[in-house]
Formats: sequence, structure tokens, C-alpha cells
Amino acid sequence: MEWQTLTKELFDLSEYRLGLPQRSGVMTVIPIFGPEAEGAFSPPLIGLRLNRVVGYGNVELSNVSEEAVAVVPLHMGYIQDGAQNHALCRSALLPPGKTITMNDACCVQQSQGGYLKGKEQWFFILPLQLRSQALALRGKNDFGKLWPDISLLNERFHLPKRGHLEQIISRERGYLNQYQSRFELLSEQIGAIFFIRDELVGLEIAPTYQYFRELWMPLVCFCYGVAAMWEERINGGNEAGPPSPFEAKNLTELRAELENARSEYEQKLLTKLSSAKLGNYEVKEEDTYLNFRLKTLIGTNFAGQFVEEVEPVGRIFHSHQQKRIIYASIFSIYSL
Amino acid sequence: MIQGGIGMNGGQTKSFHDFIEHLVSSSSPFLLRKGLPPEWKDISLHQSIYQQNPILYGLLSLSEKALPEQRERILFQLLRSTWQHFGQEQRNILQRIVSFLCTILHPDQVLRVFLALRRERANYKHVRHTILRFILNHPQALDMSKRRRRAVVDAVEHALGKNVARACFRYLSSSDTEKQKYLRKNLLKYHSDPERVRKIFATLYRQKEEQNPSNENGTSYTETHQPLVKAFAFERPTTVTATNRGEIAAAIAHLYGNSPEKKEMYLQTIETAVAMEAERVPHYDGKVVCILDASASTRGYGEREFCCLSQSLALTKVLKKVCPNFTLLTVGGEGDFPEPKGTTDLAGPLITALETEPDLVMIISDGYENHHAGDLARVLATLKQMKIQTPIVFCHSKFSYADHLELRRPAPNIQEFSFWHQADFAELLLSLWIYVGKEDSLQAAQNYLLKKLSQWEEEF
Repeated sequence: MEWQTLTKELFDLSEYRLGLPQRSGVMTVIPIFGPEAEGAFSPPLIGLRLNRVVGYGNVELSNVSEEAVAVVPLHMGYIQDGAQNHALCRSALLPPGKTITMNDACCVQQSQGGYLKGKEQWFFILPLQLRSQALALRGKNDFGKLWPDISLLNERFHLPKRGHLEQIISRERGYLNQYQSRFELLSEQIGAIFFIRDELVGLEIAPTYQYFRELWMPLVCFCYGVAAMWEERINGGNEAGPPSPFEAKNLTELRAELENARSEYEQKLLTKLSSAKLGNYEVKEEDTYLNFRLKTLIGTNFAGQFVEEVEPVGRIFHSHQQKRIIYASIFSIYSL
Repeated sequence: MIQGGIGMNGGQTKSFHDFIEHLVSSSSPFLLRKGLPPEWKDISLHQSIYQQNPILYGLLSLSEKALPEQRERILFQLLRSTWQHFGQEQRNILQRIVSFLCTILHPDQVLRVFLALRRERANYKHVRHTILRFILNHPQALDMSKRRRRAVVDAVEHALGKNVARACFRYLSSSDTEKQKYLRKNLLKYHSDPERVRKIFATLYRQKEEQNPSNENGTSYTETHQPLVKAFAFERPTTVTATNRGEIAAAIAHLYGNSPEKKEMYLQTIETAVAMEAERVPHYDGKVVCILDASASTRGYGEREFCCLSQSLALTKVLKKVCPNFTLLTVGGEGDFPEPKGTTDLAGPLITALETEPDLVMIISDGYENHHAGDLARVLATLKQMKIQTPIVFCHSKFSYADHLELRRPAPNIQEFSFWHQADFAELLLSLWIYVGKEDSLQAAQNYLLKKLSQWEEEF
């Protein structure tokens, strides 16, 4: 079954293959394996450096490598004690050794003074419930632009209605951190597909194994983990109920039934994956560096950003260019 | 051979497993109200387990986690029963268990048991011996006689009989040969120093010059058992680190985290520490299959990196030493010291384990089942339906005593145990062999507890 249907019109995933699904609670993750992108790419934790916040809403980032290109992960955010936490509304391409000021960042802690400093490099990815709003607000210079949505998200969690994301990210850190152990990052894993209650909610691909390893915890714990936590804690729980036995009469039959049930579940997920549709969508190129193209997808069902490497082939029509996907973060429109 | 090992799990009869769980969890007091017989709601459980195997019943009071309230009940149950039908060897063991309980319990609890025996009019020979030995040999007997005078008098008079006790008191000041003979026969065989016995009796019967005896060494009678209680249970660290959870796990964690040139040194340390630990835990000859979770999540991260897997491995290495019929099925990584990797499939290996018809299947895991979560629970539910009764247990490998297991329970329908320190191994294996509930496994538990009792007697 072809699983690349969703993004078939956007980029080619034929070189990638899927691993076995992992399920815990309401979330399921299918690991993606595939080749690392050619060339050097700075991983987000050790390769990207948060220098400072130059006034609210302006986050200064550096690519510390003198050789590798940095792709800033979509919706990356930083949390620090005593400083106003910030998150980015978009991805970006950073040439080796360069510094960039993202002046359309948003504050995610409404009434906290102080600026972030470079010492704390731990980062998160915005919760799934905020991603489409944040992406829509890219380019808008208003540091308080995400506060209404954060307030709404807090309200959904029965928390005080205010623009403080740390009410979820920091105070529920113990619960959210467990998603890192509930799901296992596999060696040479380069991406993952996320499902919540067996519905496709995200597709993430990184340029290198190390890049994905550093992105894994922010994704599974804080981006998709927050959405899963809301489902598990607020919206009906795990709905597991008492375990339903197989009909097997002996161990041989039991093994066969177990394998069948697993195979059926995998098929169910693949069917969901192959039948997922972007809906009406448009793709816009937003940034370039050498052969790399950063593009934004806005669809009625899914949105996100991705980076392609384009190989010019000396023809008039660009549609004939060879393209390779370097980075992708595509997520479902998950309304609050 | 062990007597009365009939406790099958899940049956109508309460098993030794039910009992050991009760010992560590039920802390309701053993009540003795004025003029009434003792009140203990779990009397039928204690009686039932005592009747199945009185020796193992009593020895279970040596379980490290047994609560004092439960030990008090065991002391009472042992003493209130007749030992007439037991052989000399069994009577000796029961007497040794009783002596252990008298030293480890708070003296007020022991006195309460003596008073309860009086209320029940339990006046066996072993009761008399126990009461008199305890009171006359207590290091703070004078302080206890003064501060709990009424209770001690009642106990002594119950043991000796009122008339004999009072006669002994009078004869203690006499040098008459016949009276001395009477004293030796009735009292002084429990304590060799007549002067000390005289002082205790003088305190009990308010003889003038002994009305205000001073504390020996300035210690209260309520404090003398405390060092023993402390020595009995190994003290775990309150601040837990990667390397203070036992010698084996510390060496394994070092092995994972260090350069290959130090490998030999750590392997040697591990081998020695495993051999030593094997001496401290209960052995069992039955067929044990262990499913070891060495999936990626058992690696942990930050300061806890490799901690979970190291302690799980430490346990399996000890098990290999003490169970000659031991099989290990590793999920995820491979080899003696597997690199943690891969997903956690517990259901598939469980079926593989059961195909070998073992006496016990134990799953050692961090509790994160993610390769088709819920499959373990479904397989367990099916086994019940198939009437497969092989004991299957889930052993949580934790980092510290404070770990939350809320999201780490892959199946609601499985017996759970947990461990985080090497010092937990002995109790864990004791609980496991008892859970198996077979004659040979209960015998293994009994042998271990007898060895523990002997070592306790040697040291204290």
C-alpha cells in the first residue's frame, strides 16, 4: 500500500520506508527510515544557538557550525526561568556561521518580564493545537499574537485562561516527559508519522539521524505529547476498558491471532495514511539558500513547512527540476 | 519436605502469596481492650496460613517489609497454639522464631501479646518459657518492670501461676536450700543471676528499696530494640544516583558509559558482586523464564542513562546464579550486556516463554509497552480463558523508590512486583518463589528464611 499519498504532490518520499508502529495510550508513532541528506546539516540542539532576545518578539539565533547548513525546526521554542519564553512561528535556513534575528517570534508567557539569554538551549516544539495558528501568524510582528490561542488551550486543560504556555509545558513536564519513554527512538530513524486515536496528525522528516534524535523529545513530548495528553486526561481518557481476549484455544492459535491482529492494525494505519488528503491547499516558497528551498504548505486539512534541495537541470520549466526532501514538518489542522 | 504448601494462586484457599502481601500492607493495630479478648480482624487469614505450614508462617515474619503490627499477630498466633504435635526440630525452629520476634518488636507489643495470651488462658510450656526469658533477660528489665509494672506482673503470674510467682518472690531473699531448689526449678533456669532476678521481682512487687530502680545505662526499655530493627532492614539511600543502587548495577552502568579498555575491570567487579549477592538471596531449582526488556526506552537519559537496564541486568545475572534452570529472553538488544534498542514487544516473547512449560515467567521491564500496546493484557486475558495457570509476574525495574508507575502498567491483569536497589533482590525473589506456590518453591523460600534466621542469631 502506498503510504506517501498525502505529500505525493509536494515532495518525493519514495526513498523512505516505514518501521513497525508503536502505540501507547491514544498516540501511535510509525518510525520513518531513509537516507541522510547529502552535505552537512547542523542539528538543532548542538548546532543552533539561541543568542538572545532583542526586544520582545525578536529572537536571535546562530548557526554555530562553519560548514553545515542549519534548518531551524518549525515552531521551535525556548523556556527559561525569569525570562519571557518565546516560540518561533516559522522555520528558517541559516548558512554556516551566520546569525539571524527572527522578528516575528511570539511570546508564550504573557506577563513575565525579562529576556531569554543564550545559556539555556533546551527547546520545545509548540503543541499541535497551536501550530496552525502560529504558522498563519508568521511574518506578523506582534509578540503577543499567540496569547489568545494559548489562553484557549489552557482553558481546554481547565487551567487559568491566560497566555502562559508554561502552565502546560513546565508544570506537566513529568507527564509529558514520559512520552519519551513510552515511545522508543530507533537507531537510524530519520522521521516519524504521528497518529492520535488512529487519526493522522503529523509527518516529520529530518535531514540527518542526529538532527531527528535531537528533535525527537521536543516533538513527542511537547508537540504531539500535549495533544495526546489532552485526549488522555480531558477528552475521554484511554478508553481502554478491560482487555478483550482472543478466541485461541492453545498457544499456537494465540500466536497466530496475535500476529493477525497486529497486521490488521498496521493495515488500518496504512489505510488511514494513504487516504489522508491535504484538501484545498497552496504552497509558497518563503526562503532560499543555495539549492535549498523553504516552502510553506497551507491546506484545509494539513499545513506545515518543508525544505527541498533542488538540482537545476538546465531546462526552461522548473517542474523538471530534481528535488530531494531535506526537512518536513506537516501537521493536521487540529482545532482548539 | 515442606508441610501444607497448598496455596495455589487464585484458588479459594488463601495462599502464602496473599499472606505475604497482607504482611507488608495491613497496618491495623492488634487491639487489646480492658477485659476483652484480643481484636484482630485478620485472625482467619493468620490461622489458615498457620495451619497450612506453621514454620513458613512464622518465618515470614523475617520478611524485611513485614509490618510490626503483623509481626505482633504472628507472635501471638505462634504462642497461642499448642506445639504438642510437633517434633523437637519443629519446636526448636518455632522457639527461635518467637525469640527473634521478641527482640525485633517494641517491648510494649510483646507485653500486649503476653497479656492477650493471659486473656485467652493460653498457658503452654512454650508460653511460660517465652514470657520469663523475655522479662528476666531484657537488657532494661528493671526499667520495664517499673514503668509497665502491672502488665509485667500479669505476664509473670500468667507464666508461673500467681501462687508460684509470689512464692518465688518471697524465696528470692531466703538462703534456705529447699527454697533455692524451688527457685531453680521454677525461675532461675530462665536467668542465671539470682540477684538480678531478685531486683526485678522486688520492683514488680514494690519492695521498698527497689521502688525507684535506675535505668541501666540510662536507656529506656522502649529503645533497646531500635538498633536491632535498624540492623534488620538494609538502609537504602534517600538521594538516589546512578551508582548508589547496589554494586552490580553501578559496575554495569560504568561498563556502559566508559571506554572499552576498562571493560575487563568492570566485568571482574560484576562477577564478584553477583557471586556475593547470590549468597544473600533465595535459590530455586524450578524452571524460570525471564523476559528482559532491553528496548530503547530502558536506556534512559541524562543522569539516569543506563540505570534501568543496569539494575534489570543485575537481577538477571543473580537469577542465573541461583536458578540452575533459568532461561533469559531478551527483547530489544542482544548479548550479555545488550545495547538498549528497538521497541517493546512483551506479548510475543510471553507466548514463547509459555511454550517451554516453565514454573514461572517473569517480565522485567520499565513498563513502557509500545509495540502494539495492550497486546500483553489481551494475551493474559486469553491465557486465563485457556485455563493456563503458569504464574506470570511483571517486575518493574525502577530508578528509585519514588518512581511513578501510573503510565507504566501495560496490563491490569498481571501480578506486579518492583525493585530499584540491589538490596531489593532478596525480598523480590522470596516473593516470587512464594507466588509460584509449589511445594519446591515454598521449600526454597523456607530454606532461605531459615538461613536468614540463623545469620540473625549469629550476629545479634
